Amino acid sequence: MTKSQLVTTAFVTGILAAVGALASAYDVERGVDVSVWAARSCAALGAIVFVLFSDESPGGESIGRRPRLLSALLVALLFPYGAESVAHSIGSDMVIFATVVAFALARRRGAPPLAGVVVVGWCAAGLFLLFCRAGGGLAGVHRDLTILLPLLLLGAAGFAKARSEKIESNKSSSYMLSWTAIALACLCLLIMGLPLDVRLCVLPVLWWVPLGVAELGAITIGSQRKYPPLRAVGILSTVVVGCLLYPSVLRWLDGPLIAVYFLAG
Amino acid sequence: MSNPIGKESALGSTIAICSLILIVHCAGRVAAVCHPYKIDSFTYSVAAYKLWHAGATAADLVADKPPGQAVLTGWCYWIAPGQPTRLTLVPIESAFLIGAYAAFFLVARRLHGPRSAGVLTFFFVLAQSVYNALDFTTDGYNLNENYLALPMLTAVLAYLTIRHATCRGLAVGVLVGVALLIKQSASGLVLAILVSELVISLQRKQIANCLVFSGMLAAGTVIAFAPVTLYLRSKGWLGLHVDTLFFQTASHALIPPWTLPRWYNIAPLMPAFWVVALGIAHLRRTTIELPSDDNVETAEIGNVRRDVFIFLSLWLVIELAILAAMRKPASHYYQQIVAPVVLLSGFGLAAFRNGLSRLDVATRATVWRWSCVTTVVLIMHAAMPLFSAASSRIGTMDYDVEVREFAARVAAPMPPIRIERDRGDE
Repeated sequence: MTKSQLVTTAFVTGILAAVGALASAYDVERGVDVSVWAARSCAALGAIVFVLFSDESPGGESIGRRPRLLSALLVALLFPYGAESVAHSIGSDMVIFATVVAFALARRRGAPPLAGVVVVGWCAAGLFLLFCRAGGGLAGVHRDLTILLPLLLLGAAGFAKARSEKIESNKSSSYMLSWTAIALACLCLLIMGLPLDVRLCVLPVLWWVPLGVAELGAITIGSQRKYPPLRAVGILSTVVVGCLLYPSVLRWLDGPLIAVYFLAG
Repeated sequence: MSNPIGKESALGSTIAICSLILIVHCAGRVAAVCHPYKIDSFTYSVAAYKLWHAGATAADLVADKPPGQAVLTGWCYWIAPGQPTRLTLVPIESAFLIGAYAAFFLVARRLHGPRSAGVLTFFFVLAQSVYNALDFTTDGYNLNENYLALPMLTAVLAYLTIRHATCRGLAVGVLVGVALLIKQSASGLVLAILVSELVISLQRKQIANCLVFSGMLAAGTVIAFAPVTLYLRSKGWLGLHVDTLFFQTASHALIPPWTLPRWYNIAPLMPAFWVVALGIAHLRRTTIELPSDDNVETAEIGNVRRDVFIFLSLWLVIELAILAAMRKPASHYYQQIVAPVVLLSGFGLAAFRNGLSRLDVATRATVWRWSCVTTVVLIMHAAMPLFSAASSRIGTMDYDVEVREFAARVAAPMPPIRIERDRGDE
């Protein structure tokens, strides 16, 4: 993927996320809260760039353009809605954005020393949000996670592939594996009903989404489709992802409607 | 020589599955006990309390249900310390549910082996807990279905395990009799057992066995009914209660226009459906070894599995018909279909495992990875609302309010459901 393609993809999917974020920032009484919309869009854009960075599988082979594009599109569709439990707070959006920026810096400078800072900072931010929100906003947590389940499925599949192959082509792979493992452990707390920020937990798992998408594509319509049982599992998993995506896509369609309503005055 | 690594792994898996089951059970009970509606739990606990205390009248029986649950649970108020509340019945309800899980495990182990049985039991516990805790028409605590599962599954176990027709009929009869005393919807299982026994007997040309079995089943049911019937008769409540029970049962059921179930009523069974889909996907690759005359043992096993499949399919169809006839869109009615659906999904799991074993290592790893990840995600999808409800409802529990409300309901007159019936008579 060339630099211009990367920028174009980030720009287009960023716009899609920003349009979708309108529905997330809309309040019946107050209309669209611009600060919430901007923060939500920034967080989504950060997550999109994070996914687009994921250019290498642990095996060393480069992940193609289509899986990364599809992953960015999925993030743009889903990420703004994983924030029901923090509907009027922009703190977690800022934490996500800061985490992605820190990660980008860490990658540019060759990973491990700064990478440790990212992981520690991420855990600290998670704990901070946990204590800030203890006792409130519980109901939205499981809904947020339900919205983000397709990303979690694809990311966890990519993570499992990376783990099972046990090949580390660069320093950042092993560090991403441990970061994702921490995130998956934190998900258990979420399932138990603790008010962690859902998007923050899912963020490291996003790194493996392109790998998951690439493998799903390979076993469904790509190079590995010649094995019928494998292909059947691929098709079934795709159907499950589609079913899980359905409510979010419906929700995203509210975004353009709100945009048209406001543009029409 | 036994393999210590294999033993350790089996022990680890058993502990993990048991822990998961216990966590889901506790979350389910918390969510159900702390449910904001508190309708059925009070109705049945007050009826149980009154039945086991002096001064009870026919009006204190729950009009539209047999008195089995009150008989089985009311004694707890005699031995429990402190003020009587509906919470007094938490231990006995959990005991019945855990007993049902154990019975289900034994049935699943008999049909599909111990490894599959653990997974299937977890699916069963999850679906049961979600259906009764997240019902929006009533609270899921102290419901008939929570007590019904144990005698029904034990009856299924007896039906599948005991070979001699006389003993089998008697045991199944007593157990389904107990189930029918708790709720009349257990009749679906009785019908499934009788029809499948008839079908299998006709296939094997053993009609005499079927007649013996049916006769003993009827005798067993009479034995189970006898104590409660005699008690009601001695009190002079029998005629009135039976009359009311039939009237109310008929008014509960009708044939409504058929509609698809809501998504939240399908989600708890999605892991089981997923396993079925996996099984079907791998069935094409699996060579089904049909039993030959040369191998009598294989033929016998094949016949048994086919018979079990017929029985479970019949049971599911009958339960679905009962579910479709229900007037109220209550989630806890779905509890009745969980056992046949999950037991049938075991066949899918077996086909999947069989198909998996025929693949090369790399393909098997990929299939296994995707299957596991998707299963976990579907389990999360079903379990998250349950945990969320448990965590948000637990803070609403107030023991003093429970005591006061229970006392008020004990002192209150008969429920309105019976007043309507009396007005109809007038």
